[in-house]
Amino acid sequence: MLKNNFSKILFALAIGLIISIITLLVFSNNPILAFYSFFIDPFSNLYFISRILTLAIPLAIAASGMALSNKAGVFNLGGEGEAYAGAFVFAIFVTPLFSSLSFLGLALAYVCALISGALLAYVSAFLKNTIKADLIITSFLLSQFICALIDYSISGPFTDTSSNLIGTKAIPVLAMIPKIDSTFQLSYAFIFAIIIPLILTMLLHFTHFGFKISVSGDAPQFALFSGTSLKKIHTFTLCLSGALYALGGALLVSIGFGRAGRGLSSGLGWNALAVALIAGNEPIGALFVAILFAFLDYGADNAMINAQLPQEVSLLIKASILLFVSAKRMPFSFLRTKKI
Amino acid sequence: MSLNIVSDLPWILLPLLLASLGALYTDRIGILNVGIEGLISIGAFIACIMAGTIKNIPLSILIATLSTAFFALIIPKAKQLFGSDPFIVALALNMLIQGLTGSLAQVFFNTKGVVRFKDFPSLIVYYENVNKGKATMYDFLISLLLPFCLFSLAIFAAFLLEKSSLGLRLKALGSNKASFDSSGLNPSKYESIAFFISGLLSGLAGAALALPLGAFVPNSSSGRGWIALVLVYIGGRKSVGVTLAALAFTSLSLFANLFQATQFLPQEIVIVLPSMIALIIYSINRFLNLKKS
Repeated sequence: MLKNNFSKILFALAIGLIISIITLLVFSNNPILAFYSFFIDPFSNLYFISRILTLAIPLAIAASGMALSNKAGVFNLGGEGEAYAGAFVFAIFVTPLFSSLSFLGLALAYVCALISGALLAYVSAFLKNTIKADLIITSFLLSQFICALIDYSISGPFTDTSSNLIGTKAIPVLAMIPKIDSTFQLSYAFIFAIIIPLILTMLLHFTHFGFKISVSGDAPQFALFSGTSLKKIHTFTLCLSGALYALGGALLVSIGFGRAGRGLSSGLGWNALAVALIAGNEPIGALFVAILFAFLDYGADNAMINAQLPQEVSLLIKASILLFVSAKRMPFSFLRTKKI
Repeated sequence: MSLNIVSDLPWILLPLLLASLGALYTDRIGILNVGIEGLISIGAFIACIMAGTIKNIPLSILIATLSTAFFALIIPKAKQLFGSDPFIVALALNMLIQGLTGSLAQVFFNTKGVVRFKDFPSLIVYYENVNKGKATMYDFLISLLLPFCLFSLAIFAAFLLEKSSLGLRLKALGSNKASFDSSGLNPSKYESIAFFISGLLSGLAGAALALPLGAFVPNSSSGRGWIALVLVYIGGRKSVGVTLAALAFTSLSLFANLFQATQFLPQEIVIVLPSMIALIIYSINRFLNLKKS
């Protein structure tokens, strides 16, 4: 099973590589320079590699939560709103809490962010459990509204008037998560990106509760008849994924921007969903796919600067990988069966 | 922004109506088409590029509609050939289309945002000509006949779904695939047909969205694809219901737009009011349905 999944992912990656070469040829005036800046330059020194790994942190955390809720058979499309809420709540709460309670306050600010994301996901879970509302619809619409509300708050009541950037006030420098050193600028937050997927993988595969989660997704009827409360499992996994999205959003502030800027988490929701799906909804796999996505983003940015390649090319490549990973049958075996 | 009900209302209602009928087609065969959002976007993009280059509105609508339908075919084909989950393929399609329109806009029009053409045959021009009383026959045809044609197409699509043998077959496929198969009909073929028509309608919706604007605005669909899915549920999964839901929803959104004029609500909130209205109506609708049963 795992081997099969692995070969599928390798196949999709190969397709992704072919598609990226085609897009480079089509969309760039200088394909060789574009290829070099996209694929080789990002690995040419430690600084670039550390940047890629840092980019992958929020994505890996959000995607591992998403993987768990997907496993339980519930799709949370509200990631954009939850991540944005996490970033906003963290940026607002961290300054007063940190100045009064120091590092305990910092931890509390993270907790507030986590709660905000979990609450948002809970609204959809509640609607699903009580009035059987379609989760896909409610979570997406709610997220759209929340994004607009935060956009308004960031550019309106909570904006930092002393700065030219549209965003909240900068958080204290001490509340930022430090980098390992000046050449290898990986943030220490990478530890979270390893530990959280690991914990979730252990929860999923080595505990009774994790088994219940898998069964709820694979065979909901069976889970129901064997006495598992689907509502509880769904609510828990949704809230967990909401909370981890929010943590991803908060980390965007504390490892990078230093403030909640307008639209800072845009794209994290959809990317994390794609990462989780490509990783076959395995939390630990999400870490590796997140690094791949971060590399694609970084490569596309680099190629845009050096070879005027459109940045959206990375979206094209990600989408094609997702498209081919979703294949249950390998195209080769499909061809073979047709011949017989 | 003054709102001319006669000339603007059709263009606010049409995209939503067409898209929700498109969503209804795949809902009939039991698949939620999450890709409508992206399909509207690619329809709008192609309609704009075509209108800007060949300067012929009817022809550009035709091309945009047909090519969107072929994009929509990716979903059932991936399901049939590779056994992919249509939901995941549709999500990937949304991403793919966003990347594609973004990259193409950047390479061919050198812009990261709005794609504009110099002498775009914008619908607004035709209306102005009609209003000023110096309209040519062509102006009249485009400004009056075009919305009429699109409405007729929507009614035709609804009729096809509810009253034709094709519609009945789609319904049969949605309710029991095994018996559909054993009655000698090809499920894959009808699945593809449902998605093809869904794509045609989404493409029309995109064209109806972009042409009055006279430009391609990235993310111009702004959640309409998702609202279309909601309208399917609110309309009780029937064509008449969905049409009424789209009409009611458009009136509510127009009402909400009045807030914008009064400065009662900030701009950011006004833009997402339709989504919020959709969520609330949907919840009430679910609640009432549950109470009934």
